[in-house]
Amino acid sequence: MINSNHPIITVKGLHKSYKVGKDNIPVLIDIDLEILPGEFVVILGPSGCGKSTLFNTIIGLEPPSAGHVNVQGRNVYNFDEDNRTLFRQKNFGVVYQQSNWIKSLNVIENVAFPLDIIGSRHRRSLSQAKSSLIMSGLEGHAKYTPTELSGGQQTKVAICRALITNPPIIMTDEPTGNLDTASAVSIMQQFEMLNREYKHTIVMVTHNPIYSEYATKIINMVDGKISHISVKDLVYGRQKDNFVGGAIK
Amino acid sequence: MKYSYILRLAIKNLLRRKLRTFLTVAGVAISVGFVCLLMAFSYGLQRAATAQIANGDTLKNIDVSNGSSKVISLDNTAINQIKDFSEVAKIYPQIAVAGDARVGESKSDGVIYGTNNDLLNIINPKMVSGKIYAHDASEAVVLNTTLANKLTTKAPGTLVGQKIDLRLVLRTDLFTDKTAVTQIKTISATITGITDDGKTSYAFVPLKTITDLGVDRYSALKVQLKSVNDVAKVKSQIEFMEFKVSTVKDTIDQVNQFFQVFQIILVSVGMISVIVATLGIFNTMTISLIEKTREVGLMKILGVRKVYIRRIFMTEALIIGLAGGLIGVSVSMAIGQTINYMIYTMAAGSGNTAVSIMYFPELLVVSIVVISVIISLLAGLYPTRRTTKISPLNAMRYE
Repeated sequence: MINSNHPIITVKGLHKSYKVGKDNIPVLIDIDLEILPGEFVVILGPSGCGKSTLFNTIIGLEPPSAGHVNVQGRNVYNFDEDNRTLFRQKNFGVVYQQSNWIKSLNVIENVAFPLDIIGSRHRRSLSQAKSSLIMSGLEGHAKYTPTELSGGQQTKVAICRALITNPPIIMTDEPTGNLDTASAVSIMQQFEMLNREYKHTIVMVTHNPIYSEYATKIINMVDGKISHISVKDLVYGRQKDNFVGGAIK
Repeated sequence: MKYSYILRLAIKNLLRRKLRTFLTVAGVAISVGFVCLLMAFSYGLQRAATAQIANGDTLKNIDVSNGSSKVISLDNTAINQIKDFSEVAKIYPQIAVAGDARVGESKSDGVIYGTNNDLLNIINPKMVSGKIYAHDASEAVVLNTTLANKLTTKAPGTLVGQKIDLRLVLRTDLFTDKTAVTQIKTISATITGITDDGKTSYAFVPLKTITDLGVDRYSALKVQLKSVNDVAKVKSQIEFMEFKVSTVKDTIDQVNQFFQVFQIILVSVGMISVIVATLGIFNTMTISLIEKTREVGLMKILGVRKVYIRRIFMTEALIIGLAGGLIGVSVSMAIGQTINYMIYTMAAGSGNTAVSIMYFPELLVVSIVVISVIISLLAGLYPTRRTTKISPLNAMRYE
């Protein structure tokens, strides 16, 4: 199923700048990166380094100023907005730091929502959402309003929602940002399990270096540029570091 | 996204803001209900007015009288020509003659109509006493109360069964024979009934009573057609023969024309309340959109295409319109029936005939509901179009 030689995500020559008044403020400068299927990628950097912009550019929400983003061999920005929406729905499960909900729906209906989007029968969506909640140990909260749950529980529900359509790539932006340590560890273990057991490609954006231990590839960003990419060789347990610009440490 | 799911989602969204939804629906219901009541009142009056003029078969009738032509007159030749039209079912001739009536010592002037029993049944005058003479009657008279009151000081009904002498002034224009001279003839007859109709004095006698005196020109014909649809055609054919023609349909058309103007005025008044309701829906939809900016962003990120987001909003607007329309129409029908019932009981109490002044034709009910759906869709259009322009990232930052 996974051809590990072909990158699932390729970013090439990516530039992004925002116009503020008369000035063009560069946010991303000449980003090149490849993500292989089955990798657990952590994009690490201080706040303001452009990692969230990179994240949003990859999932098709932020058209780049230059360069291109290929996912599964397709240039994301060759699609119009609607087709990009469909493409995102097929390929990405997205989990943000702050969980967002359809407020008129309860927990289980929110989890089922992506299935309802693609037009599956509502009863089937609900039963699938139910098994997903059981796996996360949240079945007792199925009828709650999502905002009644704790931050950790909300993130877990958001993960259930992201996974319900079984997308190959899980994209997550500071999922542990608001959580206490115990909840954060539990969430990270869940991501690790999804990566190891279910072979989901995971791309996680964070400012916290301690999450690097879960990663198979760490992309360090500073000031809109990739400063450093390191790859853990899982077979040999060695970490192979590259400096951008070809110099090998 | 399946339509059933969109509907489910729209209903849940509306139920999440129960008070706001209720107030908006109530606004629509009140405004269209008000328009519905106004229209029902107008239709009720119109129906009552036209029912006074015509009931059932009278619409098929054409009244023919002598026109301005001195050459053409309503004689048997004309009758036979009209009878030859295939659309004509039957012709009822009538002759009007000036004259006077005597009972004992009392005498009064009046018009004597040679009218057969079948025509009288069509005219259907309200009888206060006695009855219309039979179709084969001769020497029989029906008086109206105005004439009867001049002939007796007692109740008009006391005249029934009494002998009456009628003097008829037969002028030359009642004869086809050009050599005829004006003559006065007296006939004796028995009063069979009194009718409560008309301000002037008159009496009905069987047509034969007058034709037996040699009269062979008629004052008027009532031409009954086989079908209502032929009225206009036959009317123009008879007009072509240079007779004067009037139909019940003409009168009703005039009444309807009046009510059309009346209804346009009412609708314009009602439009004001409908516009206010439309603004209400517009307001609700706009607030709902602002409130759901984040949700719209989330939907886009999760993969809901723009067309489905628009459908969710439009469905919400549609539900408001449909619910408002149905509730408004039902409530106004309930009010209308109550008013009708009150008038009915009041009329029954005072011995008058009741008239339903509130009338809800199916077309009115259906169009009111359709209109409220249309205005809700129009009001939802602009806010819904704005969802398309929401950028998901900005929406997620929106608080």
